Amino acid sequence: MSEEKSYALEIEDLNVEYHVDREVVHALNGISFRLAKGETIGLVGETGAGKTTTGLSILRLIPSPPGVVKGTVKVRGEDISTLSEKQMEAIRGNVVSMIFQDPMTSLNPTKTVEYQIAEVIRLHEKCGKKEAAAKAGDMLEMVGIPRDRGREFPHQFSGGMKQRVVIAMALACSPEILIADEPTTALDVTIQAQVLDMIRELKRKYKMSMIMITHDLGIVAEICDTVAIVYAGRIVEYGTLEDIFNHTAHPYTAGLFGSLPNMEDRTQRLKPIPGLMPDPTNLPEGCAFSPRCPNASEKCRTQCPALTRVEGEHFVACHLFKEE
Amino acid sequence: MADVLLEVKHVKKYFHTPKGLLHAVDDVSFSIERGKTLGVVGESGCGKSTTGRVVLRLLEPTEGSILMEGQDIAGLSESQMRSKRREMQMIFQDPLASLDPRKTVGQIIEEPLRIHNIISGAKERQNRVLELMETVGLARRYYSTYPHELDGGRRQRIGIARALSMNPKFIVCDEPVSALDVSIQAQILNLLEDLQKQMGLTYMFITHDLSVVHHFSDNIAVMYLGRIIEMAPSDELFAHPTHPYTQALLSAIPVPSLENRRERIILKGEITSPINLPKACRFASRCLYATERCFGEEPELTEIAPGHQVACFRQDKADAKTV
Amino acid sequence: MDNSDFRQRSMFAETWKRLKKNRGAMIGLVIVIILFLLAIFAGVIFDYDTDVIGQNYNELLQEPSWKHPFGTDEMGRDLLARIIYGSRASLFISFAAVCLAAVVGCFFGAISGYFGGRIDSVIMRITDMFLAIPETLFAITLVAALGTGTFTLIIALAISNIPIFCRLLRSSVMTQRGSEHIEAARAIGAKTSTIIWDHILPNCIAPVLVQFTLSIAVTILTISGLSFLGLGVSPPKPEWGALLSSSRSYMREHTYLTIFPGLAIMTTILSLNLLGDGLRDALDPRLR
Repeated sequence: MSEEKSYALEIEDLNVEYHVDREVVHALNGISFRLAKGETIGLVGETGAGKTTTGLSILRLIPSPPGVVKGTVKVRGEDISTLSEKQMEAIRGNVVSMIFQDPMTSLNPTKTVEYQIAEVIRLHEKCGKKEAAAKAGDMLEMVGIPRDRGREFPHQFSGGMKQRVVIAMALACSPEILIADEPTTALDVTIQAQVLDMIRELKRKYKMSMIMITHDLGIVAEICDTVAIVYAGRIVEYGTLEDIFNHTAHPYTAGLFGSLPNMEDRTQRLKPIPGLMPDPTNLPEGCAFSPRCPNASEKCRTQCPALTRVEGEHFVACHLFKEE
Repeated sequence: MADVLLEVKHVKKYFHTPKGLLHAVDDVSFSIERGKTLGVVGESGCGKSTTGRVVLRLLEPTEGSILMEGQDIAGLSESQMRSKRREMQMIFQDPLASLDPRKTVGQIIEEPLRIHNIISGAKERQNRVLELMETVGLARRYYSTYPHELDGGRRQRIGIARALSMNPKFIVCDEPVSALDVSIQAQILNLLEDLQKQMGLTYMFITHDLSVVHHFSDNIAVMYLGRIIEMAPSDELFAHPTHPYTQALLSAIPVPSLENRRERIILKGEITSPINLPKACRFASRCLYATERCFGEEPELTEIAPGHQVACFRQDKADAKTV
Repeated sequence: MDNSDFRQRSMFAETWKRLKKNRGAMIGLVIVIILFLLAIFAGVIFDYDTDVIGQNYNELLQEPSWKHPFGTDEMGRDLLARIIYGSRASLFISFAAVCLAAVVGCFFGAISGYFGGRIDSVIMRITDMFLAIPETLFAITLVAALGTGTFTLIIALAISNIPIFCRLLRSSVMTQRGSEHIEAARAIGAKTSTIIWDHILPNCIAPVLVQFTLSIAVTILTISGLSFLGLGVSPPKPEWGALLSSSRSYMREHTYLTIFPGLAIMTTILSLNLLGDGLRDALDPRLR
């Protein structure tokens, strides 16, 4: 199996539970996927589906207690659960980087922007202060901010600029895997377009692997190669862009598309998914989506469907589809 | 003739800030026909929310008139305005923040009925509240729960029920779905549409989400730095966006489809704040087509097609670009 | 249509239900009730003239025993009796003063926070002025000017506590005023008075409750300081702080003389704090 090596990230049956107040929050219930080098996967789902938890588990940042993590996460073929905290610190920000949704809270308001980027570089690379500062300047230019603005403090930057700084920080040590957690949700549309454009450019240039966490199928269509639709801590559908957008299989994915306004015909009524996300402390038996599913049968309410192949690399976890 | 419910004329709202006078809303005029929806779009800081609040006089206009069925409400006294509020309501962006955390669902929906003495008996009032809850799709068992115990979608339904309790004619919806998940968003949008049909409501729908506004509105006004820079019927605006800013805005929507992708227009720079504005087109510094004239003169809204108004000197040449 | 299931939960019943679940708060409540009962019925348990101020030179400085559970002081008076009688002065004066301060302070704080502008500046400058004068010094001045007496003491302590409540309420009203649910209340046409009473004040009560218990604690100590200077409760009338200060000279040999009044003060303050924290949580429907 020489092909094994080409994966930047492998996640196998990842389970995360939070034990709080005698209740168990089932945040992730067996997530598995592999990310090839240079590939971008989109994790799509609604609030509470477990997208961010997945990102944090890859960095081993789930607070424990109350979190309990089971399953394996392999970065460059190495199981991170076997690493010491020190080895893990060497991976964070260096091999795997994460960008968070809110750029305002990820920056230290009392330090200059340049200093903050240089700090990351000096943490992971052996280099002097001057050298690090120079590299920080390069990074700023790369994300489209003039070098001399590095002497300024975060509050002197606008929202879009701050997000660029955060991205520059995440990319400072040229990581192999970038986890972007809703990087443009807090931004305006025109600024979102600028940032997405930049991310796409950087990804191509540095051949990074990326996990794009988002709820916006429009962003997925622009940036991702493969898509995983996450519902109640499980991947319910997985496939290439083409598979997901043009050969939608899972009723939940179909529901997500139906909830979006049709740009061609504005009079067409929206078809929302009835009901709500299930409570992660009290997941329904069988398929978690069955209470909201228009095609649910008795089997769906008792048996949880496994991911099965529809065609090629297109997988779906639904009883309506049987393996060929 | 068109039956105009609300007409806003030359409304301005300035704020005094340490840096100078902030022109949050700068000479905005529009009208909304009864039973129709005007969508107001723009990026954060463009003055769309301020406009909505000035129209309801939650903020006092600096200048201008707001005619509700021909009556200028900008001149009403505090107490006259209070009773006028029965007709003009608002649905807020953050459903949790806009509900008093110490009141139960029932108390929140009942409050307007008590304030305006619409129904005097406690029992009758309660029946009306339950009826309203049914209208907006809230199960009766939530009557005595607190907003924080419910999810975002249900919270927003409480806000809608509260606004409806006075049988208003006009509702300002300030980003009513932007805090909600996609599948819940669609539920609430459908509810607002149904209510409009049933009760003949007139909406002013404020949002930054262009695909939602296209779906939801009859007419759309695009705002930039306190001004309306383009206004047109929904389909017309999406088919023939004329102002360079509108064009960029529309091209920036991430389309959830692999086909018919648009050519992206990436704007340079970011929206500034409307303080101490020079006499120039507000968009000129980011505009791809700005000429000398744009930096020395401010364009007025002019009609280029029936119902389609644009504030840009380029309008005549614009058609060539959009084809 | 049967609406019996949809009766509104009353605020008091709700609060009580939540308070009952909080063990600390319930312990605090029980102790506070016992303290008050003891203060009220002190006259039934002990005879003021013989037990509390009657000097008994046969039983000077006795260690705690069955006859005198807390021992006796340098004049042979039963310490238990003096502590229980002393609670009357300490509890009554501090509660009266802090209640008065809270009402007046919250009133001006609410006005200041809600209306802002010039009214706010005027009220705040006056409170700043009062805040600049140390509490004890202020009380001394006032008592010296108006003469000693329970009433003067209450007024003096109340005035020095007003600025804290005023500032506290002002800042929470200001945060509340800017919140969206206040705007929503205006949008449905609520009057200013309704907005302040129904929407702002209930959401500002938590910090006031906590400050209330803290202020009581500080006030009890201030009273004892004043008594020590001869400006508070005049001897031989017992008062906790006075008991504590008069026992100073015997502290080495007769530790119990300082321990028991100290314990009384500590228990009161601790139980009030427990109760205050519990009430704050119970009043907030979000914390359940």
